[in-house]
Amino acid sequence: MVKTIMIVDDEPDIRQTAKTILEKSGYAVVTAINGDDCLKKVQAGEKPDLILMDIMMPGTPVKEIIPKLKGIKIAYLSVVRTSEAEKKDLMKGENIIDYIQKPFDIKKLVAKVKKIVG
Amino acid sequence: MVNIKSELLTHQIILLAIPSLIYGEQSMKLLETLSGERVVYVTLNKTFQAVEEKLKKQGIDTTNITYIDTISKTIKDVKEKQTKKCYYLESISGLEELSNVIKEFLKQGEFYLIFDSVTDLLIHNNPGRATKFIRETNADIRKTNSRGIYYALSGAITDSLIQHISKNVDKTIRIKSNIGL
Repeated sequence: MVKTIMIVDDEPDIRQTAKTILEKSGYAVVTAINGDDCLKKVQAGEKPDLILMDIMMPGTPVKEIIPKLKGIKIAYLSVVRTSEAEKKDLMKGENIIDYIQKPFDIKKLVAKVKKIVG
Repeated sequence: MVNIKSELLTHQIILLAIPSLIYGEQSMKLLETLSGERVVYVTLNKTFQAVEEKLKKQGIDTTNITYIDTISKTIKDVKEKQTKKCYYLESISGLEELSNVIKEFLKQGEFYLIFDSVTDLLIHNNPGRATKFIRETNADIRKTNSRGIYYALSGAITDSLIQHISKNVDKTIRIKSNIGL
């Protein structure tokens, strides 16, 4: 069964590049432009196996969106730098499974996605 | 080699254009050269804790550094508005709040204001708002003896932005990749 990845990022380049590469790797890909758009799509019936979510986007802060996405695996994409303690804290959410620093190597991202969802 | 402290004796407000490959290293190196001086560090791409952690790992004394953190409140729960070490801005696009906070710091005595970075300012705010903020901040700095240093990432995409910002500062210094600070 084809796994679905949702890419949530306000940067169109990131969404498009990640979508293209992940689709070539055999995943179905849905995109969202921010946390609100992501939530809307999930509530409308999208069931991603993994959400790759930018930690800083316009709209409702991601920290407020995450609790509403229970049961869905989420990996943060972060352009901002945090301390090690802050990173550990951000990873405490039960559905948070990874923290990926930007800029990322797209091939490494695909490898991480494969490891998480198969 | 660029001597930032000397440059700031004759140029009150400087724009430092740093190549992205050495940005992390050079942006921290400046703080080493200002060790012991009073610094207010406005961060738009790292949490205050991340900057403190990095500086302490490099053996840089952070006693005299106070932070204005535009990131933390967006990504995690922060109960305080302000501590002895840090003022937490509600959002990275809260430029009016940022402007007011800088004004308050300027009333308290001389310091080096480090703005890290204008590139991030322009990512999160439209160019008109960002330019207005920089002009107004510069006007506030010029009423005092404080010094201002703006960081920017240099590179093909951002160079036109750097040229634009250059019109609002006293000197633009382009750090070369193989020389640095």
